[in-house]
Amino acid sequence: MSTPQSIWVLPTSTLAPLSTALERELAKLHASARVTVADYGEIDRLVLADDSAWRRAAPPVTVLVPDGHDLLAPVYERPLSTGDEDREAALQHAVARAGALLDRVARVSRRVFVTNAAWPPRSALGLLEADPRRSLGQLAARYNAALAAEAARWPNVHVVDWAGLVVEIGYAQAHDARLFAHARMRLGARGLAALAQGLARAIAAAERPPRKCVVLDLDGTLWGGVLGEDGVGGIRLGGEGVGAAYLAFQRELLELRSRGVLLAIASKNDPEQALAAIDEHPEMALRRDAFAAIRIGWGPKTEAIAAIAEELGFATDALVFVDDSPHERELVRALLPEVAVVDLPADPADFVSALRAAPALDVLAVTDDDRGRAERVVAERARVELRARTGSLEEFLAGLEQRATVAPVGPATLARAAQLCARTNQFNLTLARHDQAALAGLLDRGAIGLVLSARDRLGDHGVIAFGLARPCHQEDQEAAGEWRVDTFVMSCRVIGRGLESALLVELARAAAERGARTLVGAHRPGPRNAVCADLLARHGFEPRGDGDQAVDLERPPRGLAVPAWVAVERSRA
Amino acid sequence: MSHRERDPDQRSTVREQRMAELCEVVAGALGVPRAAVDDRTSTRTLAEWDSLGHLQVLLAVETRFGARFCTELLPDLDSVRALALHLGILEEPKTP
Repeated sequence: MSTPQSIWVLPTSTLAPLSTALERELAKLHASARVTVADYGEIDRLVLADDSAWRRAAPPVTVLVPDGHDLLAPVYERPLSTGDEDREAALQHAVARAGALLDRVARVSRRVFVTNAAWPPRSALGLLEADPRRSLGQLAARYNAALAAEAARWPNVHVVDWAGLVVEIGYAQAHDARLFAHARMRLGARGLAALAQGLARAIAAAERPPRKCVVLDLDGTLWGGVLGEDGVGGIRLGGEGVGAAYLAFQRELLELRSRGVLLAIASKNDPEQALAAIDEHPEMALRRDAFAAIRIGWGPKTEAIAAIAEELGFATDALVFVDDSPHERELVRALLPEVAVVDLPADPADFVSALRAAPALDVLAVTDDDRGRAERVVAERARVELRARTGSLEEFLAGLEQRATVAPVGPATLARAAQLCARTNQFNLTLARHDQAALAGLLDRGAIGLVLSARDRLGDHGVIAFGLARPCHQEDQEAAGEWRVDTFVMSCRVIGRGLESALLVELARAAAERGARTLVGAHRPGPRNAVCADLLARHGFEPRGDGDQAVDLERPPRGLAVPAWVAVERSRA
Repeated sequence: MSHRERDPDQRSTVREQRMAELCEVVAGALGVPRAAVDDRTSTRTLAEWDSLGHLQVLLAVETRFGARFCTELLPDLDSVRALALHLGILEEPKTP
């Protein structure tokens, strides 16, 4: 970020020293910001009054820090003398207050963060904290659940788990009763530092795209010992002792992978021996198919890392590098500064917590698409390997067992069709960029829209192509039964598989069923769509004088056919 | 050690170093140049040392010197001199 972004923090108690602490923590994460912290007791007025300083500033980022002690004050302060009814009323009031603040703030700021509530484990309740009817912990948990539900109503609101941070450092460490007596500040130095770090991580995670791949070393990182010296049987992995620590680290990486983070290997080792260890060591949690890319050899790691990025189609700033060797880490930092480097501690038992503490891997949300990513990428690698092993392209394609399903575009697929129109730059015949409403309008006026979804032996691609043909409306054309290929787009993931033939043939067939006698089209050249320049010619379309290419649907040419290695199914929806 | 502590020159050098360190911490906490703070600086001489600045100074000084001032004292620690006295960098003037 070049210009510092304006961040306002609105607390319920004094939190003034947070401004410099938060600016400092954000700077460590390469995010520059000007932080303004509102004074004690100002939060409601600032948010609710139309002409307040906060409203006039309308900052892009606002952080609400409603302290549980302030929101739930009657119960936190008098947990013994507050009755059940008053306790419930206090809870409802606190939730309503936080909800009202969020409703207002979420409309003004682009991004909003709100901390949830910590609780004092040692209150006037003493040992009665264990009584669920009285427990402040239980009360805070209910408030936090309700706060999360309020926050979920807004796509731009994120909850920061302050309660968890306080558990991590300890309530007594986080708070300072002296400073509260002196200046109405509840937090002490440790608490301020933890809050600044927690907020900075959330703010930074929201501002930058998530890192996509963790590049891992092998010796000393995924297992103990040196494979080249100790052999597959001699490396330390699993069982009891230090081997258990390496196995725990592998399992943590597997967990990360289930969230959509790809794993890759960059190791200086003998490739054959290293792959044997990965495939055959009985305790490996990460087998070969857990990795999206593997670079094992004796070249520099920086080159391996760059090659992995290229293979996966990422920029190197999407990578995180994990290596137990400080020397390799420094080299990567120096030569590839955009790669995030995790400093592994000396003891492998601490690897898991080091990984969890790495801001480079922070995300605020996980989508369904993220969850399936690792499998998709590994399946694609298997396709590439299959292609390398089989002799001809045709043998490769035949070995894929491709099945294409073609269906009229419907309510469930219209958004995807519009997305393909918007995003496809390479296999885009006409460069028509219809949005969802425009597509619906064309379909209403008699156009035919077909979506193609594909799967093969190695995985499911989902909907990856869309074509739209419409009747031509000039009188002579209408009389001649002329239809035009208005839109033809296919995801670049499946270029070169013959799937476009399936879509074009089905589009022609559907048009013929509706009375079309001629189908015309033209490739409109753009900066990146040369790959489909010969689409129509390959399928028997003949040039006519007006720049269009046409095919006679009453006597379809031989070229208008689907290759033998694609099985086509028609679906009505 | 005890020999060194008895040496008045050595003792004053250590005191000067700790005083300089205190001034540096106070300046850092208040976000002012190091030169703006000396042993005569207080809430009355430096505009940045307001109530917010005071919290910053208390947090920074306690963290750096591993100290914990009692609540009653907090409002009175409003000068470099007061801080230095309570950190043991300066000695209380002898009352007659």
